[in-house]
Amino acid sequence: MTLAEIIKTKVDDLYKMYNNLNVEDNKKKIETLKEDINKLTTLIETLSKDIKNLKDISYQDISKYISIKEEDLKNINLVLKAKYEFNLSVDLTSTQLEIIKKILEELVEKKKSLVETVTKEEEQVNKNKEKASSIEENILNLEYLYEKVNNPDDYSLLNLEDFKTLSIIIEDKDTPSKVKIDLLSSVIDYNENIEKQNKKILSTTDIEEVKECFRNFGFKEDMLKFIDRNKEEISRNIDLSNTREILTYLSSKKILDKFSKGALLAIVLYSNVSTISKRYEDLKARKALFTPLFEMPSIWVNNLPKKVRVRHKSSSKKKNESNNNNRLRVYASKISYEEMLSNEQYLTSMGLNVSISNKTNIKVLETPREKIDENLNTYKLYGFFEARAKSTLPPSIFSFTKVADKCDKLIEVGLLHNANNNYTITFPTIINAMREENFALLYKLKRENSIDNYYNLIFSQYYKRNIQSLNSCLTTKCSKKFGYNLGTPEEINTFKQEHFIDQMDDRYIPNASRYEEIITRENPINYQDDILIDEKIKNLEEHYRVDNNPYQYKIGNEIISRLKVLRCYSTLKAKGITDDNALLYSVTRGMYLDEETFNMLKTSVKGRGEYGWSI
Amino acid sequence: MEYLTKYNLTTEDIRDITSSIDEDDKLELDLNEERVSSIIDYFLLIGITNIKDIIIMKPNLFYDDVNSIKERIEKYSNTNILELLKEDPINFDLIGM
Repeated sequence: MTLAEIIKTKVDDLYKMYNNLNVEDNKKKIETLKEDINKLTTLIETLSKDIKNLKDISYQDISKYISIKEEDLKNINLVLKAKYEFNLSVDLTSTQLEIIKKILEELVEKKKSLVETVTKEEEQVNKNKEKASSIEENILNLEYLYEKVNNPDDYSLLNLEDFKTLSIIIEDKDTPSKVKIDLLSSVIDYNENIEKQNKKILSTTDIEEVKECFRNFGFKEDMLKFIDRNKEEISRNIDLSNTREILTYLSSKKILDKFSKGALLAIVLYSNVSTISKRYEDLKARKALFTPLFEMPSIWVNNLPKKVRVRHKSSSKKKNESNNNNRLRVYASKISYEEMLSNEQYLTSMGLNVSISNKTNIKVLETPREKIDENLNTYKLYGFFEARAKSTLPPSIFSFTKVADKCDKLIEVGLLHNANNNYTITFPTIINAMREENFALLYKLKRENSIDNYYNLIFSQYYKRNIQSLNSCLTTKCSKKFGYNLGTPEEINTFKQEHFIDQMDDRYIPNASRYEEIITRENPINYQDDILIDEKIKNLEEHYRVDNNPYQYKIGNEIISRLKVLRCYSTLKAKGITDDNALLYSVTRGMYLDEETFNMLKTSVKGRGEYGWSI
Repeated sequence: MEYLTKYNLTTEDIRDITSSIDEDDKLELDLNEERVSSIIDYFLLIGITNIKDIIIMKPNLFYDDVNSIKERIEKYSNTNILELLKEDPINFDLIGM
């Protein structure tokens, strides 16, 4: 087998392994189990509260989880109905009471067993996710190498990075020894062959040679300076003969000067003439050779499988690479042309103004589809599309991160879905742009002022005369006006420490850090409908839900994002966590609270205190 | 992103920018000086001078082409949108940018 064949076989095997992990299918299975746990929790709570509630529960509801004689239940329900609905003087027999007790015990047991199953399944999913991530990384690296060794125009020797990639095959215990021996022998053959052709030596390249190469193609000082700024990555990765071939090709097609500096360097480092010419001919044939494409290197670099690319891009390792002098590589592997086209079609079908050909709203076109979908669902849940036509929203909002968490805060500081103000719907960019310290300031200002005063303070016209955004205004003018200085990170820290508690500290809410870990990992952007029949949530709905506003609870003067509570508590409940602390965590998550407000919320959500219902 | 100093942005301003925008935005701004500069030049030409806030609040604008931005702003030349954009970059939201 040749080196290319060995790599290709391994890539195919890895794809099979990847597909067999079924991460998505298992996630769906877990979701179904969680729904069952929720239903069981409600059943247990209803029965524990009063056994007479059994008369409202059907045989099907119970027999789905435990085995019970239909006849027994029917007889019990007859007695309960006679006693509680028709006030007849009948009572359950001791045997029937025993049956009810047994039902309850078995339901509790069933729930316990389901929670255990979910925990195990989740552990497995997490393991599989890690495995999938590692497989993706290996596929990605092997495909890069496959492209290299299979490319007749690439004369570079196998380098240290390539050997690291090949170790994926060498270290795999399932790969037959013969294949490993073939691999080692083919590596020797490959490098000998390349050396024979004397096309390239294995070393870092002198940056002056690189500059000379570009100078020979007519590039001026600005490009040479750009090369200098990226010299470490360039000298480590550039293959001068490959570079010359690419530059010659682009020059022959009269498109060399169309490329931006960053794009051109990313291309010469991470692509080759074969890939570039294929892309060029394809775009030309389809009359799609739009100018903006010359500023997007990933269009001209070998495509990666869609699924792998999306996941790979979002990995923290990849992010860190941009800080580790690999930023041109990150730039070159941002998104494939096909994915951008697909995003363009998807977003324009929603009436949004995006276009590759006109280079309009490119950032969202470069956003992974998973993130676009997640944001779409979040904006839908948070009522954006009811309040403003989708087509008038800035498309960039679909590229934001942690949208739900930020919307919760904006609801709580009165800038979203408030009867007096809906700033965020008009200016959704605030979701991404609002600085965390400004949220802290807003929570404080809102708490200390009447609602009218509060809005006057933050929207008073004076800042406009200074041409400043609301964000800058809050940081400079407002904070100083109130005797706070939020100029430096140290000042921000001091401000936070002096005025707010950290309710996520387990000393305030036992297990809060564990709950936070769960919510951060699960990143729920919706809730299970049956959370609304949970007793604790029913109490919140009854006592704190703001009339005609599906987005707010109001406890004392504090606005709480209702969707935050439902999202978080529903997620925790699905894990079998239903205590008061979980509810308090769900209510206070992300808020900037002083001790007094925290205590007020704590007693209120438990039904006690000034705003509770069972003092 | 040092080239931003030619627009009177201080080192502290640039630090503020880099701590406010994401990695993708940083990369885009860093590797595309010409495009970013052409967009900033256009903003300054039409009287939008709050460059630091625009970059922090609307980094997505700098992925686009200056002509596309120009075209979209000029579509509203009969309105007071330019005045609003000069006041606060968040007003780009009003015109779907």
